[in-house]
Amino acid sequence: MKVFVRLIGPVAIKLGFNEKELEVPEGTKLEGLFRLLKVEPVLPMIITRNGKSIEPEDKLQSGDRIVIAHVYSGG
Amino acid sequence: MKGWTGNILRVNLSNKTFRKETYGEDFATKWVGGRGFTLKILWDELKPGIDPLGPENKMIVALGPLAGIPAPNTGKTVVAAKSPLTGGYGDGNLGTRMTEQLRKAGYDALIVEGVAEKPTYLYIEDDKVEFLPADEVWGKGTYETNDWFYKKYGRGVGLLTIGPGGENKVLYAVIRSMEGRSGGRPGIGAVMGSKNIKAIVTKGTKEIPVADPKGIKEVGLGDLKKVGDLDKRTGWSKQGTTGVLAWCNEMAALPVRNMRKTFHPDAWKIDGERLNAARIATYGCPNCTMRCGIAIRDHEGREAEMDYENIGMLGSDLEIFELDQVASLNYLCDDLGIDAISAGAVLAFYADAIDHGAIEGDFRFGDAEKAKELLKLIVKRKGVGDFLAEGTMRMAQKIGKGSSDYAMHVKGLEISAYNCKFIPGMALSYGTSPIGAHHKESWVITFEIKYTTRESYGREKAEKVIELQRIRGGLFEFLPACKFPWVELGWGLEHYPVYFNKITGLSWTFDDFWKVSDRIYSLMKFFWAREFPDWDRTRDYPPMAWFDPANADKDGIIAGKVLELDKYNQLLDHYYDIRGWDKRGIPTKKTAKDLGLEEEAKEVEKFIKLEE
Repeated sequence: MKVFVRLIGPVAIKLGFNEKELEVPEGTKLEGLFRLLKVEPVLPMIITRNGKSIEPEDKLQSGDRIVIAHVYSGG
Repeated sequence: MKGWTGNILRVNLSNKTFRKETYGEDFATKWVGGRGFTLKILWDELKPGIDPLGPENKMIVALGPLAGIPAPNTGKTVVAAKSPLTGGYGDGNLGTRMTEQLRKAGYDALIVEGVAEKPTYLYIEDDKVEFLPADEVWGKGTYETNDWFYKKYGRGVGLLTIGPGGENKVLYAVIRSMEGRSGGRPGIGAVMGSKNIKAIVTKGTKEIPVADPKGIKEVGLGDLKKVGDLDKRTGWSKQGTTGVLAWCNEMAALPVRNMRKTFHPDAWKIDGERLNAARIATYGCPNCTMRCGIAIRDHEGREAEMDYENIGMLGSDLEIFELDQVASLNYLCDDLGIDAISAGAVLAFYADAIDHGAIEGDFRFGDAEKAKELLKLIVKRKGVGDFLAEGTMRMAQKIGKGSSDYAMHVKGLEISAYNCKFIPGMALSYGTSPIGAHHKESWVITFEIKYTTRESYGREKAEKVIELQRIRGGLFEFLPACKFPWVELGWGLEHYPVYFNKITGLSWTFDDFWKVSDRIYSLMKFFWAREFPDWDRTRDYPPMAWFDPANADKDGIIAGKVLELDKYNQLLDHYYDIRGWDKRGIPTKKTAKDLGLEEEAKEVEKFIKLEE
């Protein structure tokens, strides 16, 4: 299944891309996506699926838009 | 008393006099400094109902125990007055060399009163104060003005200036320093202009009194380096505050088209990554190791220093997605000395009102060249510029035709760059911000998405808003210091009592700090209530556009959703209850007593009855 990944801020700089459509096996969890992308948080992260918070053990669904960013705090 | 100089400098412009006044430990420990000092002085010394641009208003510059001390991000100064934009208490902070220089001159605060007969600048050097002619720089932009003073006094002086916006009393004129720094969104620059003061220059040579000089030096300098290392390791300052633009676009929180929309497909063209790629220089405040001022070349080839709020309000909210053009608008606001957030909101509201047929005009969303023309007219107060110089609240009052519903301000201060059409907690943050809609007091969007839900109007959101107001609007405003190490890099809050106690010799805990924060917030509310005795809770509402189903997004992640007024009122009830305020949003007598505000309560009761 396909998921869309959007990286923002330091994590995008670290991993070298901003957005990417990825083919992942059915049943892949968010933590699996992290392993695939080699995400190593250097700051607290906020990860959302279609605008809502998602936990590491949550399974991804086809067509999900996953946004990975560090926790912004509003300047 | 260590940690405070114990001195306030009072300058009277009308008769060109000055005197040093002293204060004691009671005042110091009750109000600490920064916002605490400015608020208490204005409360005590201003008669309610005075014209904010008249001779009776006073402009206060205040520092505090951390100000100018070598420790993380201690370059902040607070400037304040009765606001000409809102009619209530107004202040702002800015990073400036004034912080260290005024303390070294021997003062924790400066009170500027009266009006100078002619354009003047103040020169303060330790115990000396001079009133000098400012004819050569009157009418000049802030960049040229800065250069003129640097040539005369050297780059190391403390310097606060205004631009033509302040001189011509644009109601959202700011005070400027060190090229890129601005402070005093609620029109404190206009108050300075009304006093015929172009600049305040300060040089000091004295020691800043500190209880444990060796201890604070060791800890402070060490921590400055650690914060810098943390920034390098995380890469935060590569995009600085502008990284949040792309996130707001994803989360449907971006201001677009006078906040009618919450995201835009072209937002990537003005985001933090594009800004970092275009970077030609980096700027920061004194005592900062995580500098966030990213400068790029603007459309006319000038250097413009950007941050998120300015890009959001001068870019996406005006539907201008050419970064160099946004930089040009940013440059103009900075050089002309007006607040970029309010300027963006004013232009967006103007375009929206034209769009809706409420007013005639030839400005449209997306027109960068016309926006530049309008900014120049605003600071000259010429033609339509005179109307736009009044800010969105007054513009809407003049236009009528229901336009107040989409004039994006709270209490008269324009909303900064977070679109809360469907973010209840952040809407509460703006609604209860004590100077009008400002993000600096509390920012809870991440909390709402990560730890609760956007749909919730639960008590936990009111608790979070207050928790952050105590830290951001209290602690960091009265120490004062920049909150960025804590807020952006996770630098522990526990460091701040350590700094404070080493500087003052006291043994304060967070409970002591939060009591001062709550005292300040309650007195700020008294200030408003004294000015507006018909006060009710509707003044703590965000604009009605955020409650209007017709204004809901048509597509995207919050399609069809807006705030709900009855639920917002429940949230406001929680907020008032936790603070010990009544249903109007005014502190009760009991709360006032608990916070040591009995005398202030008696004063405010001359104007409005308090509940027990």
